[in-house]
Amino acid sequence: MKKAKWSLVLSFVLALSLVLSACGSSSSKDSEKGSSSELAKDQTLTMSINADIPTLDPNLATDTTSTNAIEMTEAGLTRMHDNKFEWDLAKGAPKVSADKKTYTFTLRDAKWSDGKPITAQDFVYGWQRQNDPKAKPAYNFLFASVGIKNAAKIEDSTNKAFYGKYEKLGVKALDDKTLQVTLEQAAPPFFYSILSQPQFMPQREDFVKKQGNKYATSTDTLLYSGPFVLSKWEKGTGWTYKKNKDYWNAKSTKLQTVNFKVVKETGTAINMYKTGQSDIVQLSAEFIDQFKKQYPKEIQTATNPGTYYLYINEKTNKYLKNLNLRKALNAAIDRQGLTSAILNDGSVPSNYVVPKNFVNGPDGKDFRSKHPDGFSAGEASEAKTYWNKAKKELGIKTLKINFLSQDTSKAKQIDAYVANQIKKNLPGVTVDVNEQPWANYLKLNNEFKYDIAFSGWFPDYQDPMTYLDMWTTGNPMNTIGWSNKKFDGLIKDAQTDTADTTKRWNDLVSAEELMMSEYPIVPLFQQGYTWSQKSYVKGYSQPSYGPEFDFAKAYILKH
Amino acid sequence: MIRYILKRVGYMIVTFYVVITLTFLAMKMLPGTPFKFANRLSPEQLNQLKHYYGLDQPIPIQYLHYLWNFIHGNLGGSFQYGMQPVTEFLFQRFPISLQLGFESMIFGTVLGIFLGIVSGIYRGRFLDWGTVTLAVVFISIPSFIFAAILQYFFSVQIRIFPVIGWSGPMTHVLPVVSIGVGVMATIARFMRTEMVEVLNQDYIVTAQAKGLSTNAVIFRHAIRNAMIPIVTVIGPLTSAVVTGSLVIENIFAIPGIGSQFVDAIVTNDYPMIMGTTELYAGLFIVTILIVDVLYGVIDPRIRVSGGKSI
Repeated sequence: MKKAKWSLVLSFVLALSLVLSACGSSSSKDSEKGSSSELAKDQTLTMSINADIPTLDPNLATDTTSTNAIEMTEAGLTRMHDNKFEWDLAKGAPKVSADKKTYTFTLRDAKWSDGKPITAQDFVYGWQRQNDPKAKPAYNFLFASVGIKNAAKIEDSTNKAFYGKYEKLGVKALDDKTLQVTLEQAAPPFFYSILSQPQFMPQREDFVKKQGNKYATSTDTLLYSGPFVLSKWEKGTGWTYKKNKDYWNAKSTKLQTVNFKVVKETGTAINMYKTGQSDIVQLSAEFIDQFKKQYPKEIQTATNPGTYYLYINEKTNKYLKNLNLRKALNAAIDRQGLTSAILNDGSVPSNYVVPKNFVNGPDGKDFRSKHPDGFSAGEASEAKTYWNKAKKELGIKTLKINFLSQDTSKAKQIDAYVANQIKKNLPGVTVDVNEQPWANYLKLNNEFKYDIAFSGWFPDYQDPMTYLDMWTTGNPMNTIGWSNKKFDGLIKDAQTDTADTTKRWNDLVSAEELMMSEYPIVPLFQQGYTWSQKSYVKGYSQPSYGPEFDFAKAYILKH
Repeated sequence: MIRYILKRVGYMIVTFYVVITLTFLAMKMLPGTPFKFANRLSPEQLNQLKHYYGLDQPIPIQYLHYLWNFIHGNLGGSFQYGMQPVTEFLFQRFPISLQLGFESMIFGTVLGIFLGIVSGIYRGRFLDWGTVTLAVVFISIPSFIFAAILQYFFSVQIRIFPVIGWSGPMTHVLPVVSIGVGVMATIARFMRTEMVEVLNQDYIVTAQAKGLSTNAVIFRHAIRNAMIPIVTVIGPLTSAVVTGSLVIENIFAIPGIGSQFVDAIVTNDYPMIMGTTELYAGLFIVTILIVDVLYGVIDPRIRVSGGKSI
């Protein structure tokens, strides 16, 4: 009730600010300048953001805001930039043993913000702390995903000999500057990119223990190792980064100050941008057309790796086991209309499982390069053909579909569109939309109390596997009941046989092909970001994997 | 009088206890868990988390546990903020909402009383008609619409005031005006009615008949008497303004308690929901107490204790 009222108020404000901001375009002149290539004296970047930093403890951070702040203030063995990894605290590629299971990294001479050197022991402590159940790690499963030795056993609470015994993790400090990592098998291709994530960053034991419960809750209960330090952090107001002069690569950091201001109203954030009180603003769909007209040179879009699709319940709905019916559902929805008319935020239509612009294979090409447009089941006209075949095969004339979704305003728009497309293109099918709060939605989903359900996925690491292994038989995330032995086999091969990267890559390509030949889901769209940045801001990006807002190498031109 | 107050405080504690209990139960009926990635966690991980947050125990035990901690001034840790104490957030952010509320009240009350007096004196004339119309407009327009309009004209077009913030006098103007005009309108209407009523009373006629000047009649007799009912509306109005400033806080990005409350509900941050509700409830209850006591002071007939305690 509270939430509903609140969203009503929000939409009023939004509508109003739209009307108001459409009235004037006085500030567009300000932005035409800024074409010189000279650096501005004042290297300060200001952004608005709609969320607070909940915590900076790399063990507890699960949200994008915290993760981004950690990635800007701390360093790992690698750092992501423009979707590629660079060596950060590691001096360069590690020495790899003949069996490809042991990786020996040499560390650079780098310092914590209190002047003490960053050592291999700090990495060991950080990794062990991520596997200590008492330190409440949220993402420790990543250690198992990448195959760090014993990680899976340490996480398994039924394994008496290993559970919680983080000292058995495959990581060792040979000396202050040498870190040895042991894996269960040859490292998967995403090994180096995942090392850039907060979970794999060093933490210093004496400092963490001294701070106790206060660790990483304010600017002075933290040690910094990355391009920036936090100089101010006021909950509800915002935070300020300052350049970290002690960072080993400080010469590549040009920004001196970065301000993040917490603003929950999009209309307010946009007013700040228009009046020059912020340099970058994230746009929601309602504002995009207006910005395209008013600030054509400042508006930016990029795809992110969020993919959205419909689950099809094959476990408890006997009709949906029919391939032609699933094909009919896939062909019935005009995705272009969905992304351009409903979403209008840089999202792109998708007919695939693994998103584009996300990961490149051993050949250096995007995973999508073999099937750039995915696996379309056909146009709306073909949907009827499939539907007629399905009707004959199933001996039915009409079909009632229970469409489970979430009760957010964005999901509701999508639901209405999808339901309408199905009804329009598959005569005789009726759709009951069942919109539920998140938790109920999950419950109904896990209990298979739906026919089709709107869902989405974000990657845990930069590899097609993060989008594919969940569809194997018996995986707890497989809440569609689809099962294919050959698919399971391909995934298993890719998981265990990591040494031959080309074969593994081809296995994953084949797995996606195989999966989509049976249409167990209805892919809808891949998400996009749209933001506006002043033309004097350069070197800023919102890559599909890595820091959400990457300003580590950004700079301000004279304007 | 003391007995009256003690009795009221007793009621207050009972009310407060009922509020805590009902909120606790209502919260437990909210669907969902505070764990954002509940679907991606294994059952063991989920149990670990539940144990850590004390959510694995039966609800009656959780309830008693909560009461015990509450009595000791411990409201628990916020789930969204890695278990940082809830009291810390309340102490940090509530004063800002309180300040915004009080400033708006002062702005609205002073202007409202003034307008009400003027319009009461000039009843039926242009000034009165203008004030009444303005009051109706300001009562009908929700404060957030007014805020968005003010922000657009004064911060984006004319650029006199900053768009957001709560750091200097300039940042206070727009939010205080946005909330204050509603208060002003309410008080002005109230004050006008009272003035009109008082000015028709026999003692005013008497005062005029005695030969007092118009100014003396109005200031010494009319306004003072018309003010008494105003005192009684200001209390509840203050509570309403302080707790209702949430949307304005969001529009001007003021770090008050309002948006914290909404976030807490959306993320099932139980300790934060409880803490904020208790604070709001406490504010209401104390305001009502103060108003009741003031009533008693002004009018001895209202006292409940049977009249012997004076």
